[in-house]
Amino acid sequence: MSQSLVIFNTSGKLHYQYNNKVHPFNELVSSIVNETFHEIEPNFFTTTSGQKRFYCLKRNKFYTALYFDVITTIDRERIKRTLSDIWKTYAKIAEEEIVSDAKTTEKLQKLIDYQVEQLMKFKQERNELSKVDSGAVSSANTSGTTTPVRKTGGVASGPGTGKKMRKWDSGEPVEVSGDGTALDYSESKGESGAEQSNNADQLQIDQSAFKKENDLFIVNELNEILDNDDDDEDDEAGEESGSSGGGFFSKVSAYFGSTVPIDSLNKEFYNHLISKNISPPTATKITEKIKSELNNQKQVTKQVYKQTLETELTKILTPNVSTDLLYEIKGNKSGERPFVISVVGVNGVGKSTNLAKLAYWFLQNDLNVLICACDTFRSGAVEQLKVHVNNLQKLNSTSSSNSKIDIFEKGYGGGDHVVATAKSAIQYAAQENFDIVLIDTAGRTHSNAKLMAPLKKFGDAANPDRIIMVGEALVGTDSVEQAQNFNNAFGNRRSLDFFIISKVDTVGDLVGTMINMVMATRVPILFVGTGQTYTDIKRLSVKRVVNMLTS
Amino acid sequence: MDGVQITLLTLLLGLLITLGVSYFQSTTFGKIGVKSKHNRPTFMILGPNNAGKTALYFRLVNKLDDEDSGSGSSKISPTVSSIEPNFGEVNLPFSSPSIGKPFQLIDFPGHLKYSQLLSKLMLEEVTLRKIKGVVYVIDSSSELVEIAKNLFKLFPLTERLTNGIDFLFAVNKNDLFNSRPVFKIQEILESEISKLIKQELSEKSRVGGSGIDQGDDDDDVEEGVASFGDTRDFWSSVVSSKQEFKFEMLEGNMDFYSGSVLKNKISPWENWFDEKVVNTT
Ligand SMILES: Nc1nc2c(ncn2[C@@H]2O[C@H](COP(=O)(O)OP(=O)(O)O)[C@@H](O)[C@H]2O)c(=O)[nH]1
Ligand SMILES: Nc1nc2c(ncn2[C@@H]2O[C@H](COP(=O)(O)OP(=O)(O)O)[C@@H](O)[C@H]2O)c(=O)[nH]1
Ligand SMILES: [Mg+2]
Ligand SMILES: [Mg+2]
Repeated sequence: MSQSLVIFNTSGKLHYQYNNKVHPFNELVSSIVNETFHEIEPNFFTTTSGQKRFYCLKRNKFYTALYFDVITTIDRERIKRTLSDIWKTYAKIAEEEIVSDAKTTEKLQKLIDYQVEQLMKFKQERNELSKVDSGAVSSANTSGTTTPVRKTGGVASGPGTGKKMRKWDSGEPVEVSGDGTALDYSESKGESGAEQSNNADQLQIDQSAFKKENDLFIVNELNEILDNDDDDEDDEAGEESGSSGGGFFSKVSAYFGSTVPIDSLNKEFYNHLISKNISPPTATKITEKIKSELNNQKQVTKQVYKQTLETELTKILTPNVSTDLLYEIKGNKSGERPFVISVVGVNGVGKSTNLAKLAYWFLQNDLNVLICACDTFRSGAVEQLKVHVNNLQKLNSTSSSNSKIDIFEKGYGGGDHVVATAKSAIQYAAQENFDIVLIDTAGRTHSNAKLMAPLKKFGDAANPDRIIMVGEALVGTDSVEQAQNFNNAFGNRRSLDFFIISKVDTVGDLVGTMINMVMATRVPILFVGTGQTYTDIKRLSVKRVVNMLTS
Repeated sequence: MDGVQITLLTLLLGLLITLGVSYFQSTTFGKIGVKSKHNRPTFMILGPNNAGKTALYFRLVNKLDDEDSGSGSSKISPTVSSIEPNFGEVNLPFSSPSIGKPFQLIDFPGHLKYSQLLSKLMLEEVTLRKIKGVVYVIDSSSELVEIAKNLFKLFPLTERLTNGIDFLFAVNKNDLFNSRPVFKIQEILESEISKLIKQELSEKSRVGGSGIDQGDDDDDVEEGVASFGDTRDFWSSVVSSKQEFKFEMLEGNMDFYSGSVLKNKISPWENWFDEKVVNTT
């Protein structure tokens, strides 16, 4: 059983660690940077990597995160509450004292470790419970938010059960509803300085005292810290906005820097993004993100907003994996199996055309290309590819390269025919010394489950090194769903590797589709198609696209 | 209305127009008018994730505190990979910080996802001329292939300046048992970069060729800064065909020193900083 908890900030600096295993959190960071995590609710997200499941809570620039074995099940509400309490504990103590001070560190450690241990204890008890009553487990497992009934009183509280106060009592937080008059916190106001030193004395005494009493002290301390606690997610918000208050200075800066209420900027840029063909839900996501990037300031200058937007769009469009296909294919050259690439997408987006463009590029780089006609559905599809291959053979014979290109086809047919064709093409290519197999597939409507289902089978059988989806820049709001459905079509363990966005030459600067598709799937764009000749394929210029979207 | 009044009014009007025009310029023509707050003399800390950049950054930025408390070999702050760049300040030269001048120090995370943001920061915000040096941190026990790829893309940027930008290869973590010696690291990098150059130059030209080009022409390059069309043009100008790449072929000075942030063995690196600021002033 391994578990670990850390508090860190965007700089990478650790502010707290529960045990020594810090390195695994780099996996979490990478999912934050690449935004591949699953967001449970705003600023609370989870991700799984290897045998570990991470949960992370973001507050301002700070992340409170923990992981444990994947098999562990604790309901998310509970985890979130613990993370939130731990962050509050840290923030409160860090605010009042210098954390590098040894005494404070020790106190902090006691308080936080106690909370982690309680969470883990809860899990262990639950596991024991579940052994006894396996029926209860299955129901708890199927819905992550079910709170099991506990003997020590109700912790069940969904969001929106009204304001409740939480009190730690003999190792178990107990919700106390009402105004909290039962709890005596009156001395904690005003004289915190004196009290702290008092506490420190107490701490030393406690250390020599019984463990039980020590717990009691911790419990008291925690109650104090977490008292008037309605979940204050937004409490810290806006504290960095110097100009949100009244007064002379703010007015002056408002005049010169011309700050604008963020909501009106959000609206303005939302409309702007939509006018660039970005889908409304995607635009909402972006503007919400900008708002939180700007620390929920109420007022910002338009320039700052725009810069933040540019940074965000740049991040979205920059691939998080190498897009250097040639390098990888050449590295694969000595292998027995050729490098297999297949293209998928809806009807008429340009799959066959862009496949031919890729073929031409590979040919020019001295790679032998076999094109496999797996669109065995639409009549004329095989002939269309033959025309391309003929053209490319002619072009190739007049150039200096000594590479070859050919087509592999088995006519038309449904069902298993596609899988069989792909498999024998790969085999044939390996025998005949082809470096690359490019597999064209039938276009299909992404919303038709019957048409999408065979993709999984195809993916499993052909096992392409890269699956590329071609999407056209012309399509509007539908692009989000297209990308998602194709990305999910290959099962749990496989997804799209790249997009090629075609027909970019036909949309001017309305290039929002790129953002829609990438945001929906986090799949990067490999190339863009810019016309109908074999050379009309380009690498994505992130910078230029961002300029188009923001001007 | 008498003469004095008219003169005053004219002056006032002139002032207003000037204000108005400059305001107009700074908002409408955004980039041209407004300088980034990062546009000042800078040292950049670059390199892959987990090399020790942030550890080094905090060590250098907190240097004064460390000395005050007399704990020269104080512990390094534990870290995870950074999510955002760190912007800070150091007084250089380190040897006499009291008479030193402030320089911006930027610790930029190594995530591939941030590569475009890094170019943007270097070219448009800090600007190349203000970059007084790059500290490229390498974990001496790590794989070098990805690092070679990264340098292969980075040099075409830094070498746009006539004299290039100077690099310090801070070969870190020499406390580790599987740490490799500096000369070995340099050798491997040179051979890996040579491979990449060969592949790039053997790729058929874009014009009349495949048409897959970068398309990344930078319209707003600094004055006097050459703009290579792309990586390919740059490398073909540095290395003639069949030649192996050597770091000394670059315009910028490339220094390799081993050290350890953990053990606080960073004085060769500090000396490198000092040398750079003494040389440029
Ligand atoms: N303008 C333009 N037309 C394209 C581009 N890519 C494909 N097309 C055209 O789109 C149409 C459909 O292409 P096709 O490859 O048959 O689509 P498929 O059904 O997905 O295989 C053809 O007329 C192509 O010439 C592009 O990048 N720009
Ligand atoms: N053994 C050893 N570890 C180091 C050294 N310098 C940094 N580290 C560790 O390497 C890891 C990555 O450091 P960090 O500064 O976050 O790397 P960054 O990703 O380049 O910013 C951390 O766990 C550091 O404690 C060193 O000189 N020796
Ligand atoms: Mg087709
Ligand atoms: Mg870092």
